[in-house]
Amino acid sequence: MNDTRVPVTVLTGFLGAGKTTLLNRILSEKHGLRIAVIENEFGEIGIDDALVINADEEVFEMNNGCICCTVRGDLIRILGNLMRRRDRFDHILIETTGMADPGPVCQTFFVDDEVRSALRLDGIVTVVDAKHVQLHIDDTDEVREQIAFADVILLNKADLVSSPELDVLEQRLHSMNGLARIHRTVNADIPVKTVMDVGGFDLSRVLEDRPAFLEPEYPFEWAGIWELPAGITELRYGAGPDRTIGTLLMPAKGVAPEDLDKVATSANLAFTKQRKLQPANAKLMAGSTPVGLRVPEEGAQRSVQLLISQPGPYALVTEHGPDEFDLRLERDGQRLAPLLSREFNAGHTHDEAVNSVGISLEGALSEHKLNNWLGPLLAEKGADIYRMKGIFNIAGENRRVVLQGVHMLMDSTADRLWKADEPRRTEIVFIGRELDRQALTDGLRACLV
Amino acid sequence: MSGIEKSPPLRVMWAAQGSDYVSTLAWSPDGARVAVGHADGTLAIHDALDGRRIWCRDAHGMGVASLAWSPDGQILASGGLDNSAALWAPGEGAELRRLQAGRGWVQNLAWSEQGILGTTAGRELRLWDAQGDELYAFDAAASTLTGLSWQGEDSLMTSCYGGIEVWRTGAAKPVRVYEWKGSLLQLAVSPDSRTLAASTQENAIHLWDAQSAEDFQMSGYPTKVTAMGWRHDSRYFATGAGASLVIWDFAGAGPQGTEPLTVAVHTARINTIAFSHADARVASGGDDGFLAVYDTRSQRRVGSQREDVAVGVLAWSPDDCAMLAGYASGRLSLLRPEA
Repeated sequence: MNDTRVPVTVLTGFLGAGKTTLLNRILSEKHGLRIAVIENEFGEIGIDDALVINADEEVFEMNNGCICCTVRGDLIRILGNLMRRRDRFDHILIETTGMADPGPVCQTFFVDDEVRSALRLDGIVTVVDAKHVQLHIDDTDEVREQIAFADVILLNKADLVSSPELDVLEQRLHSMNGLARIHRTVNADIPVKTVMDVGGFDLSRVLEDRPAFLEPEYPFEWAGIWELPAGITELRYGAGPDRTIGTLLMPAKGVAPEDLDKVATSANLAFTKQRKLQPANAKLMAGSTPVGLRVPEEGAQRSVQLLISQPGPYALVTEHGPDEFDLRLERDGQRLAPLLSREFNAGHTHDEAVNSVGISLEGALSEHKLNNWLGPLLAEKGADIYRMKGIFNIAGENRRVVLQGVHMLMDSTADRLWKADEPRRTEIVFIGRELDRQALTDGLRACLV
Repeated sequence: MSGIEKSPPLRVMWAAQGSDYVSTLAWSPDGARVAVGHADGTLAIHDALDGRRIWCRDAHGMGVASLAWSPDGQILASGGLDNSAALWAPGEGAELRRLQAGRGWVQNLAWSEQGILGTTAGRELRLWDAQGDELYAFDAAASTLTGLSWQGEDSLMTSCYGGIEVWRTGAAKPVRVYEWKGSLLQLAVSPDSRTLAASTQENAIHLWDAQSAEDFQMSGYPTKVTAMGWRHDSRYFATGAGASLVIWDFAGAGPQGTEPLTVAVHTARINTIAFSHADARVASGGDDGFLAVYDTRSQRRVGSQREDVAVGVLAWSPDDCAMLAGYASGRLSLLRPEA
């Protein structure tokens, strides 16, 4: 079943982030595609083969039964007209204004039959100003929505920001939107294919980038186990992403992976406790209460003495990975390497209101149960669920069922046949505001046949 | 309902090939010529007798959106996706005037009986005299104007998101609003001016009694309504949504509480509906390439024609003897139903 609908890419990003630069790059590169561009800001765009249409963002609310959503009326008109000459375009690009919520644009592709029958929303590309996004991300809903909706995020102007800062930013964006592929760019310089051919949903790609994505979230990012002798071990660290970083030193049962799992379980509880700042000059003993390590200025170093009474395996659990604040253990000036360590999925490290939940499940789902779960879920929580993408293993269906959703709207289509050697696995990702991983996982699990 | 095969075929009087998708058609008032607007911006005049192209101009970059002949047939107005309107001398095709109609596609053009031209471009409604001099520019509406209709010589109605607005020359703002919190896509005022009808984005049509402003809605369509039209005596109102042709009867207390006529002809989206000017026939054309003529008096299909390309637009000749069909391929054909 070949989808012959014309692909559409939506381009979002704050004013000055580099949207127009990207657009110009797409239009000037020799890719052989005939592109129609619908733009909202009267800008200067160099065009050869492309058609550029200026649109007025006309957002209005639609009420269809119990589903309520906002759509772009101007887009329905413009796209309806473009479809008359669709054989002339291989791709349509829609640029939104800097302050736009991408929701209405996306919902337009679910709501209007004419649009839906001829066009396919291929991907949402968000251009982020790596230097300035920090100023807006905490208090501007539109910035968070643009990040949450993205399939691809360009961390543009990456040359203006230090590499550790970029790491932190990238991690933060990933904690908000686990689905997006993030590329660091300068002058929005990126191969056109990367942004124009986003295509379907591929959770395995996400997992390649971020193996911990499907795991439950922990209030910490990292844990490691060392064999420590009795006496003093120096814990040294430098500048980091937060002013204080929660750290827990606790005895471990052994040095096997399952011992690290047990550490994680105990630490999960321990991190809910009130923590104290670790005072200067005080020694830290192993226990069950995390402390806050005061982080020094850029370039400076601090250290804490760990007092070990019994030699044996000890675990250190930290809110950020050791690389982020140059954390290390030393004894007599010699660096001690952990015997094993692991990263943990820290969805709420930054108290992010926007998060994503990925669920992977074996076994076939009952279509009936799934509808009875998803329908009411979207009706109730749709306002908080920005996007949903998934591949479903439905009982009695030999093809993969691909599902896409925006807020309260969703659309499912039977995709290709499952391959003989391919595990029939349901994979779904929700991106939204304060999503409850446990409830979503339980809900989906209850749909198993 | 009789099968499609049983209705007599329409006779093709002539056919002509145009440059691109036919987006709009207009017969000259005397029925001697037809003006044709294409999606590539070409404007052409054809002889209605034999289909010969008399002239053709690259009128509007981006595409022709609307066409209207002045009542005396001396001027042809065109509106385009290039945000402009133009006045043409129909005889030789000279461009008389280019009108800066506002910011947005010029989707609607309408002449008053006395020869005043109304244009909508985006949210703006403007009036012009036959020389192309601007007479009046109303204040911009809240959203894009999707329909336009003169009501007498000094009053116009427009549709947009939020309702139907009544404008009177000399008043910058609407003098009356028929409110509806929804997106109105097309406006169709009944010929007796008693009923205002509009298609909406929400798979329904919304109607008002013009006098009392009492409103009601006809819903249950499978998709949004993409074509509609009134019979000349305002008794029937035909609507097309998806493949369904649904005709409402306004006799007595109707259409509320009545079952509409549903005509099963099309297998794909209906793009155009046109009632004849003086009798009871309604023609419809769709993406399935099918063109059907249905008589609302005998309630039977009286003609049909199939092409392998979508019908974009249809218009009856002023004497109702024939209709012109414009296709997605740019083809034009003049079709005559059997007498």
